Amino acid sequence: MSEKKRLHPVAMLLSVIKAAREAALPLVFFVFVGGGNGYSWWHFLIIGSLLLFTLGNGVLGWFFYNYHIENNELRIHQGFVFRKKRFIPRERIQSIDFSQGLIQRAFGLVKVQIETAGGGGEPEVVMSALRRADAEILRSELYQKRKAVTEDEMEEVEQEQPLLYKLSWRELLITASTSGGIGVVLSFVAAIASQVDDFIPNRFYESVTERVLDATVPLLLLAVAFLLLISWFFSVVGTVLKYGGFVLSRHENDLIINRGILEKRQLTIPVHRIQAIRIVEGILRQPFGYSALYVESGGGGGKEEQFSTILFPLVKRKRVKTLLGEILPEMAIHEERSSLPLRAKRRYVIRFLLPVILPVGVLTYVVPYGAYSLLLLPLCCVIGYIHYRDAGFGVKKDVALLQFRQISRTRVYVARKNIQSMEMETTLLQEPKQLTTFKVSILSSLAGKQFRVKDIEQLNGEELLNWYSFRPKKNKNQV
Amino acid sequence: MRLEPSKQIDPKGLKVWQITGGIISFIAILLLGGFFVVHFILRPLPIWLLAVGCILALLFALLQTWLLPKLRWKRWRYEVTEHEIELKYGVIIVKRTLIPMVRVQHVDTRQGPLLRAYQLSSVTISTAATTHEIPALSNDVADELRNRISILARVAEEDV
Repeated sequence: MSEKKRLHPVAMLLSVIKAAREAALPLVFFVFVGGGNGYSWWHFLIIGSLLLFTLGNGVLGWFFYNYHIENNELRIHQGFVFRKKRFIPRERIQSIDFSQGLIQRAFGLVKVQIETAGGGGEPEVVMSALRRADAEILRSELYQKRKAVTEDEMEEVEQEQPLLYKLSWRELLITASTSGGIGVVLSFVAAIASQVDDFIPNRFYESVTERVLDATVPLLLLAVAFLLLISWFFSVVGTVLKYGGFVLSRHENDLIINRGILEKRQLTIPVHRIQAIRIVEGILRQPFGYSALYVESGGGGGKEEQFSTILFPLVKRKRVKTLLGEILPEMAIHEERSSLPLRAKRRYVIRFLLPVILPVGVLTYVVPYGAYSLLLLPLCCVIGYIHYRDAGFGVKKDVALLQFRQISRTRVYVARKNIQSMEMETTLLQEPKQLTTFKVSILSSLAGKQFRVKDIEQLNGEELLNWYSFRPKKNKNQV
Repeated sequence: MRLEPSKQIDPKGLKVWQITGGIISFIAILLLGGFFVVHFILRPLPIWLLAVGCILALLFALLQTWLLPKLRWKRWRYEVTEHEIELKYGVIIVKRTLIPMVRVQHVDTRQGPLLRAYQLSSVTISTAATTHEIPALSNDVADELRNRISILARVAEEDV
């Protein structure tokens, strides 16, 4: 495809809308504040010229934007005052995403976003409107040496896809209602607190309300609970809109994810770009045996997904292995896991107790009934213990498993070839106990990502270094 | 047991760190001077406060100019082999890092004015995800190391 192509003309409209959205606030300000003494001709002149400028900018921007593929590179020329040429080698492309906003859907177009490794959150290329067929051609041209297939051939291929995972409505609702995490817990707690109110002695109210404020506590709690419930409701709706119609499929060497109800998105992740797999069991999902799957790849992923891409929002624990085995056999998931030594337990518990002890002490001493906060201490012990119990690591052939808890229980699988560097960190307090923290760095869309397991046996740490080491040795796999 | 890296950094590096520590201590002492200015010019401060300040500043200066640089220097080890780079360093947190040659994206040498005065450079090794530094090597060693890593990394080429 060496001829130069433009975007679909709707791109002009989109650019004007975008400009209008950005200009809305200053414009409102200008109209309301500037027009204090009535509008004179220069007001209209300014607004008119601004409008003309945006329109012109949209039209010219469209006219001067073109792309083509030459010499294994995607070449984009854009701009009429400042000419910009961007060449992206095919091998450097990490992901190509299609998405459809309302306008794109109305015209049957797609928005194409192309990401390369690194470079922060913004995609390197954003083409706001392309005909679907053109987008498909562009993608197949950019990915591997695949021949550009015509549209009906494309559909044929899609029909015979053997691997397809859909998120059912039930799963979607579970995902949505358990995704708010802490928010849900809080609203739950507040709801209970508003009930418990009757059991708290009146003296408590007297002493607190006198000092703090005159509003009644139940009213306050109710208001808070109400707010949390509302926010939870919105988060549910947001998640449903975002993950509705979620379909994960494998197409030769690409994973393809379709999702979204209002704005439809299609993400394509080349399998060889995947750096690691993350399996996260949130505290609300773990009791029901559900977890979410993420992939870490060089590009893609927004802030809300911690710069990684969600592979599947909800999977039963038992199905994780089958699903990944079918869709991503390249990554050999295993259950080879050693726990931490017993002497690490105390460190885990102390790690959670330490930040709480001082505030609790102050509360107990200063606030009436503050001694109830002492209940936090055993709670912290339990949390620390659970973090200790769930931490671990394991190695089987070329895939390492890191398991740890950051509230949610997380398992990370990473292949040896995708580890950028490995590190053992030993603090002065860990040294006498022969413990160490081991850390693995991988490539992700935001420069790099680190995963660590704290307080593993120092000897194990060295074995892990040996496993990772490229130095030739006799028994490499013996870890 | 895994063998530890063996090479040490240049002895002149210790001097540079001590000078840096001296500069930081000087700033701390200036801050302390501020207290004395307040005490003598604006209004008297409690004597114990000044005494504690003096002791803290002294300890800080001692740590910065003597103990920390010395320990830091003593602990620093690195080793560059055909296949990988291994570092071990740190006083309070001892870090041991392994960087395979295949993962090295680029190597730099650099020097600030202080390092230049002592004919030293530091070598910075970047992977696609992380950056690591070997501080204070003599210019020749640093240049040689940079060239060697660069060649070895190129030999071990492999796409991310």
